[in-house]
Amino acid sequence: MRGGDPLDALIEEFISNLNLIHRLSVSENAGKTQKMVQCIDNHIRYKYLRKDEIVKLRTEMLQVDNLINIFRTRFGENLAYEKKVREDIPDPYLPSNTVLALAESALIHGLVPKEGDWRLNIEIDEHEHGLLIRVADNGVGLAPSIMDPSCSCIERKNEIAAVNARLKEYFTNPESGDMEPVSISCSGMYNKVTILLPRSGL
Amino acid sequence: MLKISEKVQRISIRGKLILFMTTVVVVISLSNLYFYNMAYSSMDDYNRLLRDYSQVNSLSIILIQGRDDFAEYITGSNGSEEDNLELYKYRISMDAINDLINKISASSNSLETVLQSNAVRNSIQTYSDEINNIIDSKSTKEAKYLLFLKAKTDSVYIEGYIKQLLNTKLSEGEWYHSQLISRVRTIRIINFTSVLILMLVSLLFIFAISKSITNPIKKLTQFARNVSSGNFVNKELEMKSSEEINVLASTLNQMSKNIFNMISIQNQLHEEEIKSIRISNELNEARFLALQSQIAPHFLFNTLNAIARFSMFEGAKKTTHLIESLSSIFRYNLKGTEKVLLSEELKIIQAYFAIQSARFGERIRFDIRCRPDLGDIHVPRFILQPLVENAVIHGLEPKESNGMVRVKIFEESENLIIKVIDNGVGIHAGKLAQLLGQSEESVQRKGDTTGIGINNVRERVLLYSRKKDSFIMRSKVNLGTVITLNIPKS
Repeated sequence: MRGGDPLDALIEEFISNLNLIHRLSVSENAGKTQKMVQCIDNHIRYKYLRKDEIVKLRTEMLQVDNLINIFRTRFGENLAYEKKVREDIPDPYLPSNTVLALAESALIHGLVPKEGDWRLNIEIDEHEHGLLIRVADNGVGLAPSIMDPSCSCIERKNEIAAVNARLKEYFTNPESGDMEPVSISCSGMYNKVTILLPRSGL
Repeated sequence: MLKISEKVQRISIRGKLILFMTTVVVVISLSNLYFYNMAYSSMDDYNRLLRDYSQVNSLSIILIQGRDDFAEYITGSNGSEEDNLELYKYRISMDAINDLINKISASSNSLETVLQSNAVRNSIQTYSDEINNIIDSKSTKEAKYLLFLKAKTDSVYIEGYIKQLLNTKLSEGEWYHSQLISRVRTIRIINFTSVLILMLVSLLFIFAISKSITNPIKKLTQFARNVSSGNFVNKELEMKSSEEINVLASTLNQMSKNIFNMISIQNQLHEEEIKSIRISNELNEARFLALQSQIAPHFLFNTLNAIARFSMFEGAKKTTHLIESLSSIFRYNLKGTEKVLLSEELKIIQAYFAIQSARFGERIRFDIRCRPDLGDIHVPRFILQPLVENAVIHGLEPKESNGMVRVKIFEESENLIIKVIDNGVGIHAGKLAQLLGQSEESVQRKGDTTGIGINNVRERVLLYSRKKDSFIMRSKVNLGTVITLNIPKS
């Protein structure tokens, strides 16, 4: 338990309840329930209890896969997920809840409100200035109207801004000045959020 | 210048009592002295009357006795004067007669008695002269006897005079006696009347004094009663009475003023406290909403529902029930913090109990006692769950067995009484004060499912009911804890 932080306390209690449900589902031989509860448990633990940690990129990507599992279990095969990660690229450290936050934000605020098929692509590749991570979706929310403060997807924008702030804090070299590791772009039917992790910080 | 009535009013109670008692004692004593004096005076007059009768009667008797003695002297002796007892007795009688006649003359008041007593005196003098002539005479015994017979005839006349005097005295005495009787009757009437008047006056005085004492006390009592019931319409008690009452009135005035000031300050403090609680409540609400937004409640709620569906398809009834309970708590948490029906609060408590029962098994028993119709009463949201959580976390978790949490709800006049009772390890007084004084940020939150602390509940209940006794928490180490909420029904 982390001091008196009410969020931590809520999360711990929630996890404790999930464990209880998991135990009960084991005793009742409910395999899918167990698996689902396990996924939720992993997600909650990672998202909230490790929120201030620095993790390896591949660890972060495992959590993204876990989240995709949860969504696929809830929504079935409606969600098409594609992950392109080059095998030979380095496995850098980065603040936790970076790619996961962008993916979750794309799913909850971008895809869930949209009718029809859902696509989520995550691509990680090398770039001449560092490592490039791209999260793209075909959902709603990143059209130009997002700049309108009355836009219903303002929460997504805030989440992206929070990721940007965390990355800046971690990667910015005080001598080289400001940088914006996260950029947002819209091309065709895709909303893309691109992260450029500077080579110097890898 | 003060009026006499005001002066009397201002005399102390002790002074009034002393004045009254002294006046009564003095008046009774004086009247008694007067009547005793009158009675003794009447008695003296009566005695004098009797004495007069007796003296006149004695005069007649002594006269006859002296005549008889002298007769014996004349007939029995040889005429010699020396050593003759009868002659000596006669002379003693004559002295007594002279003495009596003087006294009778002196006590005679009317002209008639004076004349008659003078006649008796003169005739006795004549008689005495005749007898003395006989004694001094050198005549023969027979000649002396003849002279004595003449003197005896005179003495019979004297007896007649004495009888007349006695009759006059008796008739005067009769008149005087009737006067005396009339006087005694008057004295008796005056005596009875004065006693009656004295009694009435005393009663009036007693009434007046008791009124002068009790009236101000009644006023004081009424004033004190008003103050005790919180009625400060008449803030100042105006009193012009005895010293002691004035001191009491002035003290009571000061006391009332102090109480009024204290109540005003207390009300002001209470208002400020309410204001502070309102601000704190708004902050807590904002904090609560911020907390809710951080845990993506909709996502979790939807995911939980999805898992519940899976478990249902898999036939895991207990798991399904547990997930549904957790889900219903989530859904309830999403609704905000407005007031709700008591029945909704109770449903959440039942869901919470279901989860905790699955966790603790037989270690903790849960019980809700509430009449179904009370479920329609509105109460502030999230007042029961934090209290039940507190009972489980602080009271029953450290206990190994036989734990019990009971939520007891009943009506009491216009209020709804909610009691959350546990038989846990209890909280000692210091910790209790600390718990109730803690800010939301500093609360130990192990086991917390709402983000709402016990102090938050206290503040919101106080704000809702605006009564200081609307939240009472009592605890005894090793016995348990009882939290009582007193919430207005309307």
